[in-house]
Order: sequence, then structure tokens, then C-alpha cells
Amino acid sequence: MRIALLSLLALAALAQPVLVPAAPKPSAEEVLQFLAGMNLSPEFRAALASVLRAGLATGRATPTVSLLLLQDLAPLPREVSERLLEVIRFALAQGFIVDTGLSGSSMMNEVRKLLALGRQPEEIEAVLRVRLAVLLATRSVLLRYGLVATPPTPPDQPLPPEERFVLEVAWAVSDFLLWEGGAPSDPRLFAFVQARLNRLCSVCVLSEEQCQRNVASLTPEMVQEIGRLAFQPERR
Amino acid sequence: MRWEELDELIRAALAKEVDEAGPGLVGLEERVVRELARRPVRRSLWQKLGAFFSQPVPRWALVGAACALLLGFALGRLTAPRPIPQFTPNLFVIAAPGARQVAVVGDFTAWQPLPLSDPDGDGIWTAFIPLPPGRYEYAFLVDGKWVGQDPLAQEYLRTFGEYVSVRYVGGSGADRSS
Repeated sequence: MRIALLSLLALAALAQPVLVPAAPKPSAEEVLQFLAGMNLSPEFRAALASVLRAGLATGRATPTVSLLLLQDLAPLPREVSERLLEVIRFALAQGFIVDTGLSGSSMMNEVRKLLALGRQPEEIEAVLRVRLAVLLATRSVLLRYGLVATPPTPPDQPLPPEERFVLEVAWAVSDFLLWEGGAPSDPRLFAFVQARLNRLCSVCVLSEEQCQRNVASLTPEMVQEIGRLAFQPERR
Repeated sequence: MRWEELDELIRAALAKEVDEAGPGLVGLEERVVRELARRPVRRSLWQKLGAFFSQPVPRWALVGAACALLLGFALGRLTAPRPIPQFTPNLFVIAAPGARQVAVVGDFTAWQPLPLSDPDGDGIWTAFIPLPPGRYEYAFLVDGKWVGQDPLAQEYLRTFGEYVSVRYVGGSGADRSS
């Protein structure tokens, strides 16, 4: 009887799914050291290192994803990796979050996803440029309507909490434009964005205050304006 | 031997047995009753608990228990890390009979393959991955082939013609729009 019970327990233990432990995290210095050894022009490398150092210190980027991204891009020709990294550098210099770490989507993780899907660097750059355009348009529109109070802050300044709201709105709008085949004037755009934000509220990615104040105040006109502005940068 | 003779022999043997056991049977009923009275009555767990709680409890014991409870609560509050990390173990599972390697890639792995396991060889590959609250895009790699539609996903995205599953982790999980 005892042997039968022990065998049953052993079998149950074998059949249990394995709990995957978290991997060790690199430091910001490791990221910057890797960047220093990359085949990039000295001017570009210096410019990127400056904003990346600031971004890593203020939570706009994380060492884990940043290091993996740089390791991905290192084998690519210099011009190709510089073009991709330039979009990220520009976004970071504008104070945007470019990497939410291992939770949620952002520019750096997007590049890694598209590389995992086997996409060409030109396609990845095009996607990044759409993401950046929508980020800029989102901040502009939300500032104008008063849903965001803080003007753009440089990456070495503390990260305003509302930047996460800007990122999530922009990500939802650009997901719709990029992957759902929708146009900025598409009436489904608002429902798509609203559903995404409500779900983010339900899992506490956005703060209670942001959910009650900002998400509830978002209108179809604001969202459509973000979409229009992203493709008409002169109106920003 | 005839049946009648055998029957007679059995009867005689039984009569002899009864005669010999006669003195031992005297007072048997009394002895049985006495033995039964000596054994304690077996009570169920509920009856035991009922009996325990029906006994009067001294006041000092009540005060002591309340103090111990308060002290434990206060110690717990003081020593608990704040905020308590809410890493929920999430089950990633896919049926891939005959597959040699199965992995999951997603935002939570920075799109690096994280192997799933199938220790009992039934073709069900699993991994429990602790995740903080968030929205996660992911897909499975079955022998290197992209499988982006997880039946357990809450949403799907189509990126360059390939599906990506989306899962929301944490909180109530309820959509606030409804």
C-alpha cells in the first residue's frame, strides 16, 4: 500500500508542469559595455550610449531587453543596425518608454518579436517608424486635450507616470493601424483602443487614477486624431 | 456406513462437547456485558470537537489567545515586503504529440525560446511561468515551427501574416467596459 502511494506521488510529480525560474538580470553597465564594443560609428554610438544610460537609469528601458536587442543587432551590417537603433534612440531622447521589460509590449521587444518571426530589417524599421509616429501623435493629442499634463521630459529626468498611459494608447492605436488593417478614420478604432485600455486597467497595468480619469475621458475624436496626425506629421 | 448411523455419531459427539464445555459457559453473558462496558465508546471527530468546545474556557486563555493573534498579525504586517510581488504562475500548455522540441516565446522571455517539458511523454507540453500583471504577446515553437494560436489566449494579433496570442495576467481579469 505504502509503495503504491509513493509510486502515485512520484507519477504525479513527474506529470506536473515545470515551474520556470527567472533568468539572472544583467546590469546597466553590462549593456553599455556591450554597446561600446558594437560596430557602430563613434558619433552614433556616443549619442545612443548617452540616452540609453539615462533611459536605463530612469526606467524608460531595462538592461535585460536592451542587452538582448543589442546582441541581436550586433551581427547585422553597421548601416542596418544604426537605422533601427536610430528610431529607438530618437524615441528615447523624446522621453518615451522604449522598453517595458519582460511585461508588456514596447519598441525594443517589438524588434525582437519581428526578428523571431524572421522579418527583414527594412520591414522592422518601417514598423518602428509607425510606432514612433503614433507615439509622437498620441502625446501631442493627449497634451492638447489635457489628458496628459506633463510636457515631454528628457530621458535623464524622472519618468512621469502618465508616460505609460501615452505608451499604451499609442500601442493600441498602432496595433490597429498595423495589424488590424484599419485606417485612422475607421470607426472600429476607438472600440479597439478602449477595449485594450479597459483590459489593461483590469490587470492593473494602468493605475486606478489613470483608468478613472484618462481612460474614461478618451473620446473617438481624440483617437481618430491620433491616427490622422501620425500620418500627417506636419500637423503635429 | 449408513446415513442414520453417521447422524447418530455426530449427535453423540456434539453432546459430549457441550457436556465438557458446560462449566465454562456459566456466567458467559455477564462476562460479555462487563467487557463491553469496559471498552470506551469511539466518538467521531465532530463529537470530540463538540465536546472540547462545550467545556468552559478560562478567561485568561481567551485573553492569551487574542494577544497571540494580535501579535502574529502585527508581526506579519511589519515583516511583509510591500508591495507584495504578485507573480502569478501561468500555465503554458500545448498538445504536440510526436514533437521533439517545444518552446514558448513572448514578451516575458524577450522573444527567446523557453523550453516546455513533457516528462510523461503524453504529447502535452507544459511550463509554469511566474509573471507579474501585464499584457503578454506570445507564441509556441513546435520543432522550430511558429504556432501562434493558443486556445487559452484572450486575443490574437496577426503580424505579417503570422498569429500571435495575447494573454492578460493579474488583477480581476474582468473587462471594465462591460
